[in-house]
Amino acid sequence: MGAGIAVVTLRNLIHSAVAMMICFGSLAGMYALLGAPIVAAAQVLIYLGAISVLILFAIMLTQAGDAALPAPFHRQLPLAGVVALAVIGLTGWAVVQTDWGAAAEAASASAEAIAEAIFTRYALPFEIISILLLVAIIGAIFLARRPEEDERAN
Amino acid sequence: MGLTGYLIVSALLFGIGAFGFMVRRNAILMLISIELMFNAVNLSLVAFNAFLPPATNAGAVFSLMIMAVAAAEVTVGLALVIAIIRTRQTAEVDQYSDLKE
Repeated sequence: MGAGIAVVTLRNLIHSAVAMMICFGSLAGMYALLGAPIVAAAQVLIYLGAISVLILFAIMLTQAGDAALPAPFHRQLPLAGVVALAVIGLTGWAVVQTDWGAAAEAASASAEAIAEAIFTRYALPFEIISILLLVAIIGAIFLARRPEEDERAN
Repeated sequence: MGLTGYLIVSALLFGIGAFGFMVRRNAILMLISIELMFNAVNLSLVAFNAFLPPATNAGAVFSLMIMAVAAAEVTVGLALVIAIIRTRQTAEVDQYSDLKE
């Protein structure tokens, strides 16, 4: 997962976005290894396809030419490093210490099983997600409108 | 690589995301760090789903829902960031200090 480290340390914004895409792609591979091909497909579609393109568009819209790149880090770098290392250490220690029992290769999350789970047990969250996405679309359009169009509409 | 390996990778990824969120000064990079943390949680959910006994596929369903919520979140977040950048002409969060005393 060296790509993840590259994401937060690279100075150029576009380079770190490409590192983010590499990281998401390798995560999709890990999902496929874990026997969840539908999640891997969704990862490729949503993250590699949609979110990466969205972020690249945002970078292109906001960076008017790469002039002098400013220093990328805050001043509280050492403190943040200590906190992040503490988080990693604590969770890693908990993971190693816990007895996970018989780690059997249990469920293969095939597409049929996941479809049945979504549309029977988790039907209500599924519908709520659709409403949430609709609200997010409307909110994004409202936020991204230019102010002069706003005045013209009034 | 067993469950422990996947969980350690997930913890590392979450830590990297949290570090990036605290350290970077660019608003878009902070959003990318949040995405990294989402992915770490997704990875741990799918790993639990694959390795722990009650085979109800809840982990995979949850991770799909997290992906949908993350898509909504990044849409609204990027719209906010672009609106702020348009008015302030900078993406550095250090300079968003109008409300400071």
